[in-house]
Amino acid sequence: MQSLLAVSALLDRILGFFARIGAWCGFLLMIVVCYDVVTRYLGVPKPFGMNSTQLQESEYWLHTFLFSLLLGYAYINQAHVRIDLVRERFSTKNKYLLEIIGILFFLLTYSLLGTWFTAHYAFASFQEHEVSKSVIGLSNIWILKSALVVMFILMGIAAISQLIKAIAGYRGVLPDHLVSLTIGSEH
Amino acid sequence: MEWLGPYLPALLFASLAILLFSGYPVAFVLGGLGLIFGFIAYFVDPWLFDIAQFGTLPGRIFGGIADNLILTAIPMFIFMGTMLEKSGVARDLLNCLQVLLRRVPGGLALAVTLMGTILAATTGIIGASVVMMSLLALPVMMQRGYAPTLSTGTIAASGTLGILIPPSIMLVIMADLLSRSVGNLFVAAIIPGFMLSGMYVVYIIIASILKPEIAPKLPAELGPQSTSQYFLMLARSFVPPVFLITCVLGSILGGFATPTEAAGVGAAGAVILAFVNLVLLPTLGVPEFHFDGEAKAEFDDHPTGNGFIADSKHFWGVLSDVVMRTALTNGMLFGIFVGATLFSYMFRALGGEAQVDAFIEHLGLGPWGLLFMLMGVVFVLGFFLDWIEITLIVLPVFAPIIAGLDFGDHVAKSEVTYWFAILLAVNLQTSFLTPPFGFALFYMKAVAPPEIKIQHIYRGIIPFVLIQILAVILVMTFPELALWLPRTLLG
Repeated sequence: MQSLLAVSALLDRILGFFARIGAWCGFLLMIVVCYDVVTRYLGVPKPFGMNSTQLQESEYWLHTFLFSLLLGYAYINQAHVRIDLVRERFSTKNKYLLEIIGILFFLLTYSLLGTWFTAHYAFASFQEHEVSKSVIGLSNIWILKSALVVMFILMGIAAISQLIKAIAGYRGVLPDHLVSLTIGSEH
Repeated sequence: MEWLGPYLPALLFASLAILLFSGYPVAFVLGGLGLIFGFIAYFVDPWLFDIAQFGTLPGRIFGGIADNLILTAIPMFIFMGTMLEKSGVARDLLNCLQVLLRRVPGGLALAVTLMGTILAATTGIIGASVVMMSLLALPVMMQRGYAPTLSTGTIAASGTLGILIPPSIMLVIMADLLSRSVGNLFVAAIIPGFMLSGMYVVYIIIASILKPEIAPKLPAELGPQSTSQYFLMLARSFVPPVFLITCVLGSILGGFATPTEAAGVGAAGAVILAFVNLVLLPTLGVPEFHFDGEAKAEFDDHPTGNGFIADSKHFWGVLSDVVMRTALTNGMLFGIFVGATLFSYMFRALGGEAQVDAFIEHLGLGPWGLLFMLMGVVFVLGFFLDWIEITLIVLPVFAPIIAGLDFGDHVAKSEVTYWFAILLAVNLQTSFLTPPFGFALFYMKAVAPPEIKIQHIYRGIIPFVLIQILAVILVMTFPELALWLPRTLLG
């Protein structure tokens, strides 16, 4: 179990790495929006010969990176909403069991199928050399679509990491500092 | 097995209702359940649902969520609110409002209401904003001898006002789902939002005059003594956040900026305010403004004034923390968004929408009956779910029904959607506050000091719930409350 927990810790570090990139994409988004506003109203030239359409498209590109890199990380940090009215009455052991069942039935199904479908979707875009609907927009849409693939892959990584923790918890060998990260706080 | 086909949409919703209460994250239940039902439907009747139809799902996620400029406003509004909170700007604002209102009956409760109204702009998730307001204001109110009932009622009501007063994240998502303009919906929410806040103020003043013991007068010598200090306090703690939020709202209302642009500039403004507050002013030797030793709750952990370098490091720490928190909140929100997209698609693919239409036709309720039914459903759901789940799961089912409603002369057909969205927002807020289930109350109990009992919270919230119900009735009877301003301002 210990070696599996080490794997889980490694997976968490990978998720954390991508999450930090995603989070700062959010900050960059703010800067791009401000830059777009300033250049539009004050007539300052744009960088790298980008036009306003390209800047605006890069805004939702950044936003897509922001949420797709964070979904899995939010799970290992227990940031996802749970409706706790019933669960809070469960014993700790049953909470671990519930987590295991939830991961096996819902999250793994979701992330595996999600990866499969979005991978086809992104690959088709790559093969067709798809570009923005707007003539002067950004090219290489496949990069944006690949973010969705990455999102489902990271979700799967989070699922495996949490599955290991929940099994360890069920068997009573989960280190204390990981308890609230596995089944939420208030324990 | 084909006989099962027509029951699948109902089964899908029923399974969702049960599984949500398992306590497993909503985002994954939605997505997982949607996909599992795809397979079930395929095995029940391949003519009903073909596995190949799954292939259209990525396009729906991409087109609805990724390739969507409106939704980019959301992380920036969250960022702005979190930044104002974590940099101490919100706490300073509360202190400053106390000083300004010290001579008015119920001054502190009014300060909390006003802060809720101003910061409402920047919060969004009910749980988070109620917790923030409780941590910030409840200890101060208890310390000043305010009755627990009035304190908790005021905080819960003004903490939930954020879902209505623009720039509310909920209104951004509603506008997106109902295919209406975010700017128009923001403008429509202005009068109802400020009307509610005004009604709270009137109630607090009357209650404090009738029963002075529930709201003791603040000490007259509270705050700075000299006039110059007084203006310094205003310039430091009151003007900047109020200016920032007025700019954000004003630029949207005036039609100068799209919500996304206003959000970006507002977020950058919040960073600048934080820098001024945490680095610039301490370096220049401007004293931090405190009531000697009082109100130093958990929010007072800013060791500023240690020189420019140390303060800048501290600022950088706050900034990275806020970036990460914002990203997590956004990840949570969009997790549900992606899951709900899958779920709604499945519901429609299985013929659920057509069934709902047929059912409603069968009921023969007429527009008002339908409106009351939808409002009732949402009110009950609000006991268990935050607006995120309600708008993302239920609104797609309701949207076509709403668009088809015809209220004759009462509301013009083109404006029904805006009116309905505002009604829904006020209704949801009421639901979050209504005992015994209203879940804003539970969030509050979770962070309140132990001497505050749930009974205090229940008793304190009742007057505010009555105000909310009055507001729902007013907006229903006088649709102009929501519709006049957008028509006048934006045409």
